[in-house]
Amino acid sequence: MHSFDGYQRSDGSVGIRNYILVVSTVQCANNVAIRIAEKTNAVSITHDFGCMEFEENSNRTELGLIKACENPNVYGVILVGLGCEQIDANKMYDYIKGINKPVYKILIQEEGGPKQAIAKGIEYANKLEKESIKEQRGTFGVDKLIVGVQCGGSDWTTALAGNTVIGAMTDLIVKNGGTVLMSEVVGFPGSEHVVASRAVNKEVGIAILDMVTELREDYIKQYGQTIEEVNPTPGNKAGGITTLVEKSMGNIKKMGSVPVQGIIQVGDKVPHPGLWVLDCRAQGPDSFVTTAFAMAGAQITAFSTGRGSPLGNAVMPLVKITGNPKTYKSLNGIMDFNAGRVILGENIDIVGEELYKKIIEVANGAITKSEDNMNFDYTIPRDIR
Amino acid sequence: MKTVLLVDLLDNVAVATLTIQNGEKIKVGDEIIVANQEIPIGHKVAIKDINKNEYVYKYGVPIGVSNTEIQRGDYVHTHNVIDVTEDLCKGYIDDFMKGVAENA
Repeated sequence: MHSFDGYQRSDGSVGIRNYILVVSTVQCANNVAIRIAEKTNAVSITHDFGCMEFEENSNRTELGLIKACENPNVYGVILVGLGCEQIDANKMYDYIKGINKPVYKILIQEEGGPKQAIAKGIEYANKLEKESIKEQRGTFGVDKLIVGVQCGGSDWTTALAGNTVIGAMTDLIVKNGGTVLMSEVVGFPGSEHVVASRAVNKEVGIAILDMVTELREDYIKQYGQTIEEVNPTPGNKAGGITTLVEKSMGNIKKMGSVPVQGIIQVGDKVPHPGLWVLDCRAQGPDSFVTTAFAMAGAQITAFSTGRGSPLGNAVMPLVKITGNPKTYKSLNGIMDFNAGRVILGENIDIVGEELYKKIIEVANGAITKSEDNMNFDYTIPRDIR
Repeated sequence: MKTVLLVDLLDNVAVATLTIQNGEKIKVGDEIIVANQEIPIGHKVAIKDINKNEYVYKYGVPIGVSNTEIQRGDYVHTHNVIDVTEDLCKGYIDDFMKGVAENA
């Protein structure tokens, strides 16, 4: 099973969903965007920014919103603005039109108020949905698939079962020509030698070591302590983790054993398939990294969670994997895959192959729990120190 | 009899998926070993003898160095393993950069 059925986009990418997106360009338009999505099958993206921001932050907001619209899983977009905000809805409209994606624009100040804006938004969303249903899925190779790998809400099974099974899946995606994105780089220190040893060439090895050295130096500058001085934490040790390498490897396992092709920055696309590191260092909620994957054009993310996180994404299904057999039962309403079978004695590679098949099924259209629960989070990663 | 999770075939420790009592038998692949102490859930047990100053392997990589003779079946944690993360990372970086300089 080295192919999937998806929707061809004009930029060459392939979507696995036909989401209709309602994007608020400024906090003042959030309510209208939410109401439109509530009354239709569209998904809304809202945020507390879009105006009165310093340039760097404003650019990040705009990048986050544009990349959401650009994600191949999005069929069409409705932009909702107020009319006087810093983020230029007209500019965004032109950009999306330029990539040949259906797009509409509603400015509340021009429509005569929220009620009129909502009515117009509903009309546009229904129109886009009707058009999107006519689209046919075609068959594509796994080389068109970009899969994010992440963990959060962890317990002792996450590193051992959830992440080892994800690692086995990563190897299969990459061996079949696909792309895997790994981030959570703040968890790299302690295993940078392992990651660098898998670099595809010297330059990539140097880039990985430089990135982690910078991270380590930042910690010392900010906190006056090395990462080794505070890790593993007393809680880690009580849970059975003896050393920092051991702790860090639990994170790194998601990368499987394939070569690392390079590092990309937030908002970048991968130059070619393979395993890539997305340098998202923003310290914050899990949805920072998930959103950064979506911004890179990932169509799907494999997310392991021992304790159970309901996280989803506005433009990308999350396949929720738990390494804890008890959590798989107690939180079945948010779980897609039971990697806890490894804890009960099943082989990691065999369960990993089943996860690979699950990813293909979801790419073909099988609905995930995060979609069924309507967990459509979108949190633009930024420095919140 | 308890089973343990062996993550990588290179590893000389495995992880208890249920708390193992002192003296209890443990199945590792086709082999049976006996726990020499209690191994709490999520913690490590040696599945091979590990000499003093030898690497302890988990996830297929060295995670530390033993500070004593570790017997097969022993509980493996901070009391008998030294954290050498800094040496592993710095050692690798130094060798790597030397290699880069020599090939330049």
